[in-house]
Amino acid sequence: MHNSISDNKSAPLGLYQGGQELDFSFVLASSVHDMKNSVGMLLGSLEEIINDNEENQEQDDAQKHRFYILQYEATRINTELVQLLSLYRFQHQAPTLKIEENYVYDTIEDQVARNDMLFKTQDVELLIDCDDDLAWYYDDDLLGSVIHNVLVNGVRYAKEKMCIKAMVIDEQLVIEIADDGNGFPESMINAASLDSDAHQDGNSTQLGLFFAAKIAALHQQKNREGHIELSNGGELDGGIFNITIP
Amino acid sequence: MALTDYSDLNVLIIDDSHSFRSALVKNMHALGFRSISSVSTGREAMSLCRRDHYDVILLDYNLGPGKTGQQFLEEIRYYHMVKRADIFILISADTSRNVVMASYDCEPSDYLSKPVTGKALEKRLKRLMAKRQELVPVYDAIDSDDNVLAITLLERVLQGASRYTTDCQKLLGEMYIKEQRYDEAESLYMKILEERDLDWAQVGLASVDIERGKIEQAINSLYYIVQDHPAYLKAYDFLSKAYTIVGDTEQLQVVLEKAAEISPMSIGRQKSLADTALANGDVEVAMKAYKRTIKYGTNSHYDSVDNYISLAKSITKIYDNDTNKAKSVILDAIKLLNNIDHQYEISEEQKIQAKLLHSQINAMNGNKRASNELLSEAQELLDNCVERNIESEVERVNALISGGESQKAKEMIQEMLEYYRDDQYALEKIDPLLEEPISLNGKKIIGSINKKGIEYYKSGDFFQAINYFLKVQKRYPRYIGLKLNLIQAMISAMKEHGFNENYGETCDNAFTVVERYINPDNDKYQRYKQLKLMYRQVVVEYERQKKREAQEESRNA
Repeated sequence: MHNSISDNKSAPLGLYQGGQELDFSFVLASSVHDMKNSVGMLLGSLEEIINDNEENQEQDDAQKHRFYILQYEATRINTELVQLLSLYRFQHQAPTLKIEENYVYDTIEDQVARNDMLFKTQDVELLIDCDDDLAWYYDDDLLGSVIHNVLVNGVRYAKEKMCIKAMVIDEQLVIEIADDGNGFPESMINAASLDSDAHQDGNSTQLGLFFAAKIAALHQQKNREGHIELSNGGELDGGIFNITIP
Repeated sequence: MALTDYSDLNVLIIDDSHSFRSALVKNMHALGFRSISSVSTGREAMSLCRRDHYDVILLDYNLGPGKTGQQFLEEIRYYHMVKRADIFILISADTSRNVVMASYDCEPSDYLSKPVTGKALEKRLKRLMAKRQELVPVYDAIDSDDNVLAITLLERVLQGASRYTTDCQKLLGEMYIKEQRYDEAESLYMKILEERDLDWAQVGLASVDIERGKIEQAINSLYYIVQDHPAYLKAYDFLSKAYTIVGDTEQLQVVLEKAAEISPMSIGRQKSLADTALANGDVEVAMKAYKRTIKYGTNSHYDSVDNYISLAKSITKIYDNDTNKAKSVILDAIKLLNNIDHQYEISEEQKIQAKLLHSQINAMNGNKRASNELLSEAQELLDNCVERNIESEVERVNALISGGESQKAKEMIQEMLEYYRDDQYALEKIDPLLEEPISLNGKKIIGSINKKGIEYYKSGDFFQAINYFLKVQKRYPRYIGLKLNLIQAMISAMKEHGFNENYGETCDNAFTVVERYINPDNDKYQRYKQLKLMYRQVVVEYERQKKREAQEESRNA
């Protein structure tokens, strides 16, 4: 006899399967999903407006600045909503991990390009230090979203510089994102593990860390599990975020 | 890298949002593309693709009413309007699991989620274009079916250090298999698997096994793959292929159900599932799958009146299994059949089947006059047909039976058995009409599954026995002996473990169907009477006990 296909039931989002009772987390997830799509549309239009204005040069600096604030905050909402949704899916659906060989530089470059406007408007210089030919096995979408979150958060605290570095240490991929800001507070540094108490109270700043730790841990290879780490100092003397993928 | 010239490549942009479209056009122009068309619907895009070839296509997943981006992609592939070198970028604002699975499933060159910034698009496109440039000779060779040349080119690329090693390995494996060079395919996949456990290489190995006829081995390894990578749909596709080859339609259905659960919007799999389940007699699964095929397949090349006819067919078949459920879906079926002629160009054959099904459904709904009218209309059409068609003839018999003309139905079955006596395919279609299957395959199924059920029954394992009987009676709902076996097993189980509402309901249904087809001169009539009596006793005993408990409770309260 063959092994039978495992039968973990998963309710796809958008299709309510269950008893008669209202499942609040499902309702929340559905509306978060809608909100995220709306914010996505909003961001798209915003970028067009900013582009148009730049071409026509018909705005003063104060106006420009207001648009940038709009864009930055909308990006943050979008990121937060994506995280919420992903966490819901981690809990309620079998995670669909798509592990493939990717070029690390491409993954980083994608996220940097995605936030190109943000870095320009915040006047933060971003350096990439990664071998063009470095390839590794991971889920490009998930790791990309972690990098994206760290960039969007970091740009808030950076003074003028951020740096993404990728390297292989002890046969594991390590991506390090550093800024020249004031560094992470002690409480956050402790929160960078999946079983940290900080996640119990659902503090929203820690949500991003929980999300990153979860994604790291989904990557497993030969009894090793991915993880994240926060520290202060380094070349830029600011906050340092580390994600390790076996 | 030298600056490349994109100006001679055709670009097509499909998005229903005007502002997004113009932003994409602007972006593409800035990248150096010069021949750019943009449209808002899949239909317009199709007509452009019929006239011209496009090298790069950016398409939104959600295109408003009409075709989705996924359907468009499937369709231009179906009509061979694409080349291997073409670049498709699927863009979507919706990142729900179903849409993401559907997008992966149609294998675009890349996938972007909205909002898409100009810079992000630029990076992706440059990368895709660089890859295209390096691999275009390989793609061209594959497109012109020159597999040997493709293999030579791929082997050459793989000897150097290419950025596209993985892509080339995947293609090379495919080509080896196409050329039946299985040893080379196998050692390629083995070499890859030594370094890392990759799903596509494992599936590649299994597909080599299938080609070599080692089906059992392939099925075993595919199950391991599915366990480790439950969302990897290719593994399910090869499992389906393996089960189709060995003719195990029961397992085939299980695999297709699982795959359809993971990616419900894949129309092709929904349709295969529907067809398989209908043939297996699992009409409820068939009904759901046809509904989905129709829902997701509207505006696609899967959109066909046959889906509606098959759906109606599944609904009429429910009548043979579950009378109550049949009542609840009859109205659906009537609505469906009323609309068929208006919506589609319908062939003579389809018209006959639709009328026959419509007649049956009217009879079930108690509308005798309409049923008779439709039946005689269909008979008239049938009599004018020169060629015989087994599907229509089966439905004609069904329509006669539901119209109460069982004698005529019997004569017709006799004539059909005579006419088709050497046609196993037709005999298998006739099997479900008979009290006992007559085709070789039908006999085999009854022989193995029914026998297993009986063995379990004799050993006292009633639950296992019930499982086997349930399975096979779905396929041959009018096989009275089998229905009685099922009833007997359930009665025995209830005698031992107490009354069970599910069993009760199934027994009631089974009796209703038996009574529809049995008459006193049948040799199973005595056994039927006896079981009916035993069943009554079980029910009476249960009701008595319930009353006692209720009394006790009120006394205690």
